[in-house]
Amino acid sequence: MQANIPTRGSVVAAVLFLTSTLAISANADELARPEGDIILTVSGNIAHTNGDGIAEFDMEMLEEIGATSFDTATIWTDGVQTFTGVEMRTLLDYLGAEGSTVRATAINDYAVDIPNDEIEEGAELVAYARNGEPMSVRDKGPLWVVYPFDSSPELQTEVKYSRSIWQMDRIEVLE
Amino acid sequence: MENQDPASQAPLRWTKIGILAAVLSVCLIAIALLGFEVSRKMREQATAGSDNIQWTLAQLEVEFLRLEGEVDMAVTMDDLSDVRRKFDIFYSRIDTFRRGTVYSQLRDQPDFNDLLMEVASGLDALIPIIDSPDSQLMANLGPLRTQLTQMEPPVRAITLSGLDYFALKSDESREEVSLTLMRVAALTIALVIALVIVSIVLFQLYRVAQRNAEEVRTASARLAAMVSGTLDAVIVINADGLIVEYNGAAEYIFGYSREEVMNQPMVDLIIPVEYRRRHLNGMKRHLTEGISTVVGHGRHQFFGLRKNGEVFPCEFSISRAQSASGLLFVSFLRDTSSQVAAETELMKARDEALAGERARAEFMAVMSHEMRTPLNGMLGTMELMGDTPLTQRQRDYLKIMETSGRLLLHHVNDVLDIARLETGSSDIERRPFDLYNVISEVVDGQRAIATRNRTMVEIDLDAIGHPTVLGDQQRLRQVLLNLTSNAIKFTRDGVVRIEAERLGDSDILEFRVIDTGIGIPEDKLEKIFDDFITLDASYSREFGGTGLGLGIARRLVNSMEGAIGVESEIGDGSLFWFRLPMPILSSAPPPQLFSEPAKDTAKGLSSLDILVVEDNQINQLVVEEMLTKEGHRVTLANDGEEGVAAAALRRYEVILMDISMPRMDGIEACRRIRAGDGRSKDSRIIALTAHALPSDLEKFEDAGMNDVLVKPISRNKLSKILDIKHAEQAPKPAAPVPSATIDETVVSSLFTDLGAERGNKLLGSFLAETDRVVGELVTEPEEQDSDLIAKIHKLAGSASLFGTIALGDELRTLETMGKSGQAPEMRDRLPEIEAIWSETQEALNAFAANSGAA
Repeated sequence: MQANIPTRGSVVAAVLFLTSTLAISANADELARPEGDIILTVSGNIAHTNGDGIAEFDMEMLEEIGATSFDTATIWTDGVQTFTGVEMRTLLDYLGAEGSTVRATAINDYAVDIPNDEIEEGAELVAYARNGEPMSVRDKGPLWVVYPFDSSPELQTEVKYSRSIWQMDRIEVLE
Repeated sequence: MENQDPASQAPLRWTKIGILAAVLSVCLIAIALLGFEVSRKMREQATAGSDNIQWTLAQLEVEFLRLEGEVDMAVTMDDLSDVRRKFDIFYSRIDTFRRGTVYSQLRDQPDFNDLLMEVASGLDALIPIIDSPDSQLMANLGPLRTQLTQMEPPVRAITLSGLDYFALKSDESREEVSLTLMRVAALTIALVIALVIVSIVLFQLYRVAQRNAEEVRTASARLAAMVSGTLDAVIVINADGLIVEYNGAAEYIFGYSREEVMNQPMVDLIIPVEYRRRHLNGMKRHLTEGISTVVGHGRHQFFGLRKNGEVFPCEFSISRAQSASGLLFVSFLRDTSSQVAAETELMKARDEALAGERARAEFMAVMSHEMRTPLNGMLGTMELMGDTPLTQRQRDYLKIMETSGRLLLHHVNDVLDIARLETGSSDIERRPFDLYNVISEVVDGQRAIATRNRTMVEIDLDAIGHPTVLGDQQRLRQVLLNLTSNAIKFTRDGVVRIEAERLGDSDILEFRVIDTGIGIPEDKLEKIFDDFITLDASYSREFGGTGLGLGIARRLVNSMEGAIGVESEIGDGSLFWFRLPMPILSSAPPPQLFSEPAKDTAKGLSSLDILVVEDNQINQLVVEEMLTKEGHRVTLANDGEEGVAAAALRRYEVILMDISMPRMDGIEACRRIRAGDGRSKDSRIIALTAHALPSDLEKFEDAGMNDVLVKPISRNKLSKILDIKHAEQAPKPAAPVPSATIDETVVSSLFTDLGAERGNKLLGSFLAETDRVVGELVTEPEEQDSDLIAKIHKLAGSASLFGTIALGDELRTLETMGKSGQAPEMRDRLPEIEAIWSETQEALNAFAANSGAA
């Protein structure tokens, strides 16, 4: 599956989706095992796993699924930041997630529920890098769900802000 | 609002509604703006930069306590990874406070910032310990815990301070929202109040509108009832000439039903064909120029056309009105055909009545004439009889007969006067005359009777002297005569006094005839001027009287635009007064223009050969006797035929020709004598007639008569007319002596006889005719001698009627020359008449101008 991934960096989501789908079909239900530190565990109603009903990811695996970037300011940072990561939608589709709600949980157990049908392309980004650097826990890492706030005032709402969970390490897809 | 009646569409109301609508709009806009504001505030509250700050702030302390817990646990559990993780989490939170834009306001609070910096620097100081290897970290857990404990108060203070701040902010925000909401509420209340007011106003408007609508309905119902009930046709047309209203009377008058005419052009239906163009032009002019002689100018007479084609007279008026659908013309029209028919009928009746009246007057005039002729004969015969030897007894009888005859003649004259006055045939004259003379003549004529009654007659003109006045002396004389004779009639051993006086400075003269007679009862005073009024039968018998005298006086005074009246006391006498417009021209009598012909002129006349043509034996006798007494030689003829025969046989200087005769009347006889070749064909022919109407005079003139003698014949009249004619007839010396151009007495008597108007007319036609004939004679004389002579003769005949002495003489000379075989000489002399004629013309014109001016 790795061989089919053309490049890292900015690749259109559609291409990514296509390639990952090909990868999945090639590897049946079993995802590859992570080799580095596990930074994300996805559980719940997902089709593809690499553990006991869960899918675990290290940084390299996430990087391979997607590398979408955008520039935006946030209310929690100072100045415009460049966020890079995999889109939530891409990730969920990659895992064949089927459910009404996606619950994202942080290291400190802070959790938010996002309705599955509200998760759209070009919106929620599971960022794994800020300004080109991986994010430490002190720096709201390892994963930070962000929106391209600057692109639309529609995104600058309490709901979106509350869904912008940082220090995320778990995702559960609820029925 | 939907029920708004159309009648309320008055501009004022709409202005009000407009204002209200504007107010409402302003309210709505304000509420919308405020609503938008509220919604914005809500959004601001719900979203924007807030995030769940309070939670984050509270979580700070939670994370700090967890960190402390982990450190405590690590000491016993010997696990350091969680310590590092909790530290990192706490660190990231503080870091978020330091950098997040959402906390910038919070950081602006000095207390908060100081606390934050204190904690942050504390954390930074701990990083080397946290990041050191496990053994080192383990060894330093004690100091770490101590450091963290020291950090507890500032961390707590941060949380509290932040919460306080956001609570405050939240309050402020709430306050603002609440304020805005209050405003919205206030505005909403205002709006509701405005709406209530609008509703009330609209309701009132609605009620007013309803009331108006009701009034309009009532009014239009009333109007409709009036329009449909009126007897006048009411037709309303619009500016295009189409009928938009047409009532029942119009249906009745024109015969078209309402359905037939509605929205049809009026002009094609009810206006007669010949007036259509005029109507259309008038309409066009009115619409383009706003001018009309009909619209708004009251009632007009015109003609209408019925459906059956009948044209009828009508009376109409048109007014214009401005309606919502444009200009309208409202026409009220009345069928006047029956009225016109009635008027025609009335006029016919009046004309018939007038004609009847005239016929009656004419009958009376004719009757009077007919009566005067035999009376004249009787009186003339009596006069002649008086000259014959009679016994005293016969003389007494004769006197009685004569008195009765004269009385009868007097009556007949009275009736004739009335007839003449009523037919209005006589004109009022306005000529200067000597007032005193007229009055004294009247008095002189009556003095004999007065003397018999032992009554004095006095004239008192002291107030005005002996003036020349302007007026109709004949009529004045008649009035005075009637009043005076009346006064004398009823006065015994008394005084009759005639006074004249000018009223103030006016041109009115008041005449008074005062007597000391028997007086008139008061209840009879009013009737005294009526016809056929005789108050005292005994007096009437004694003196006779038709009772017409005062009636004639009244008519005469009225005809001269004067007034007449009477005052009387039984036993003391009466005062008759009348006032006439009669300007005083001078206070002296007029100069004597013509010397009166000497009374004995007739005596100096040589005797004439006279033919009297008269069927009436009595008249024959009278005339013959009178003429013989004057020394003339008389031949008698019994009718026209005999007259013509006699005239052919012998030359008479004068022929007296009665007009109405059996077999051949005087006019025909005269014509034949003139046309024939008899010896008397050029003699003076004088008509004898009781009819001296202007039309008769023309006929006489046309027949070739030279003069007219109006019956009754008296010796004086006869001698006068023969005197003039004979003098003219006297043969002229070969060299003509200059003679007077015209004889004014002839012309003026013509005017007196015919009246000024008639005289002028006649004179006018004479002037024109003579001018024409003279012109022809001079420039293109007839080739046949006999034709030329006839023409000269005819002209001579008419010339003499107007007293044109010079022209008449010349023409007669020419005629004589022509007839005595001197035709060439006559023709040579013809041009001379031109000069004579122009002189004559001048003289006649001057005379006409004078008499006209008078």
